[in-house]
Amino acid sequence: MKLSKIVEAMGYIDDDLITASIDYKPRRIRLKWIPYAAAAACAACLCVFAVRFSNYDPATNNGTLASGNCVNAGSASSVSAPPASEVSGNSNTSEDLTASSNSGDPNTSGTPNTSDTINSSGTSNSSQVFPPSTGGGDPPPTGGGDPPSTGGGGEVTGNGKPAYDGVFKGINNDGLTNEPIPYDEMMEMMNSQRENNIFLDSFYLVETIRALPIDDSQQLNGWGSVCEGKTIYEVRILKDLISDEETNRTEKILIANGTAEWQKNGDPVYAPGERFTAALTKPKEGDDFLQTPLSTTLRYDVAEDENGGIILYSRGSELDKLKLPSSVDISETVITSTTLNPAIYTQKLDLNALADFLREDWKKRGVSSHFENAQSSNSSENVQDSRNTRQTASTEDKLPVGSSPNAYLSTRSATFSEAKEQVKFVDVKEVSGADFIGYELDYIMPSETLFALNYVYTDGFVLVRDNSGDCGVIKISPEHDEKIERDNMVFWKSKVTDPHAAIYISESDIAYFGMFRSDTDLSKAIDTIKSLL
Amino acid sequence: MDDIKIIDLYFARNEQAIKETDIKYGKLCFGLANNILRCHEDSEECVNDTYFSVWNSVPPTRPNNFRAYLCKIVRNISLKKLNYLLAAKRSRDLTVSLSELEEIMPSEHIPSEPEGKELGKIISDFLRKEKEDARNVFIRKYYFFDTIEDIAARYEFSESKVKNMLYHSRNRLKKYLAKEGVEV
Repeated sequence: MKLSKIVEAMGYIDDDLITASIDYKPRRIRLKWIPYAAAAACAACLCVFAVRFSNYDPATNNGTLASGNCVNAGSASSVSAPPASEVSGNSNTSEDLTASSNSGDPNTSGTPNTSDTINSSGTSNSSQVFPPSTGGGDPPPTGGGDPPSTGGGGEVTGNGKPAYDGVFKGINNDGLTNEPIPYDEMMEMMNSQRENNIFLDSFYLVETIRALPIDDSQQLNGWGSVCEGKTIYEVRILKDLISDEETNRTEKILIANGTAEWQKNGDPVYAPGERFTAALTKPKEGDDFLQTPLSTTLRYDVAEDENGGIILYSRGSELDKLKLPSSVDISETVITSTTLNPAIYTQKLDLNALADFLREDWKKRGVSSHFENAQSSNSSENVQDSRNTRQTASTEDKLPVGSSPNAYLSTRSATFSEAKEQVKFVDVKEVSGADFIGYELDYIMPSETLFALNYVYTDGFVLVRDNSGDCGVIKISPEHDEKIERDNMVFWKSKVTDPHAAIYISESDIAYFGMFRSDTDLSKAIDTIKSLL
Repeated sequence: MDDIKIIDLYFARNEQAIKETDIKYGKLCFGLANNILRCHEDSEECVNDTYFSVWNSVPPTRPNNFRAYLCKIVRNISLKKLNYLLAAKRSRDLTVSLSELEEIMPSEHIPSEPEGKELGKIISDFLRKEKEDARNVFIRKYYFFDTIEDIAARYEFSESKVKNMLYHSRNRLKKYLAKEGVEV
């Protein structure tokens, strides 16, 4: 492709694209952990690479993941997990796997790590895979704290294959950082989610009823672009592990472990009957499902040990391994719901120990439904300050007509008349003016979350976009905004975020923004808004 | 003054139109010209030529988007001027400062207008399918000739992010053009 020709042709691109690039100002959330993400991504690549190599079978010269019995460099042994006594808890990383598999001789891999024990034949079992639990096949090894093979047995299809073998298309690790986030940082991030009205509820033991098909998921309120590539499960909540109370309710929860078709490496989609733990959010008004905040964190697969105690297995979690007295670092590969993407376990720990730890820690932090009353007044003030946004006068949660959030979950350009039809702002008038940049009309949804934001440009084009994860909540507060009364109407001018805009909140909770290039004459912005009403 | 009134002044053949245009869009035009020519005097000359061109074309033309209309004119004039200067090697300083632009500068052969328009339309379609960030970065680079540093500062991105976005956009454009059966 000759770039010079492209540059010549650029002279003929549409006018609105040119002006949009002049006016464009990205709105972004600044996430302080982002700088670490790049480093984590590199580490993740190394891990994935190492795991791939650990499954490389030189006999077949086939680099695909094993789909049967054990696959390790050079041998096919299946050995039960080492007892905890063999495990020192020292380093046990994928580097070890790489070393042994690359060399083809596990004995050269240096000191055996926690799970990289050498059996009598000199082969390594650093990566252990249990036979898939097929209908007529042998059951997976159990007892002794062996990793779960599907919790409740996974779902075996009529053809004897585990649940998702028939639909599995491949691995897609997009959006996965695999950054080992320290626990404290994770809790800070959780706290920051309050800005988006996401609050931690509790830590639960759940059992999968089913993974919803994508078509069904998309019908749910709350589904949006941020949910793409994730799976909504219908689960039975068995126990609140913080209050230690048994429950029996059914919920839908969103988990970021890919879809049945495109899964995250080592983190296969759960099949019906599988049990795991998860930190869940409080129900968000208007949403049909709960979220598992912070991705894979605090999500552990569940298995029973010999004594009926519950052992948890971490799937290469994004959470840095918790250093609890009972925790053991491991490196095991176990087939659960599909033979094509075995679960990779990196840590084993005792459920009670984890629950005790979280209970104490959350109590200190004043988070979760059980403890947040203690610090609610302080935290709400902090949240309010950090938002630096505006408080709506109305507290009533009511939807304007035609305001289904699903209608606005993508960015699209439309002519003024099309947009007017699409977003049902039937009373909106097109405005033009020399300094006029545009106005925004925001639906304030229940829980005061915005779902649609519309810029209307003078040339008649409207950009309709989802901003549910971007702008947060539009709130008006006297300390952040200046009140302007005009003709018995109340307008607001932001002292901080939008000093060039006048804002008006209608009785139906639509926020009208009138924005001009400079704030020399705010009355022009007010006049613009008035012409829209 | 709003664009409609400025255009009305052009229609009334009132020279105040040029003053108002300069007040409102002088910086924009000069910035674009200077991105191409990297020379204060030449850029000012191009901006003046642009005003003259607008004076001659409005009326009868009544631009729907006056700002984009001005950008197109100043860009064309500046590129022509650049080709002229480069062809005649009139400025040693200029050729040195243009090393960054060299690979993307249009050749002296200007394609026929229909050919350019057709390709421009395809590129417009492509850009509309791009994400907003990537689209605007691409336009800033290949329409306005902003440097990577300028784009990074303008949109508060890191320079490596801008480079990355441009790289991926170019690759996607290449595929898109191939799919559309366009050989470039």
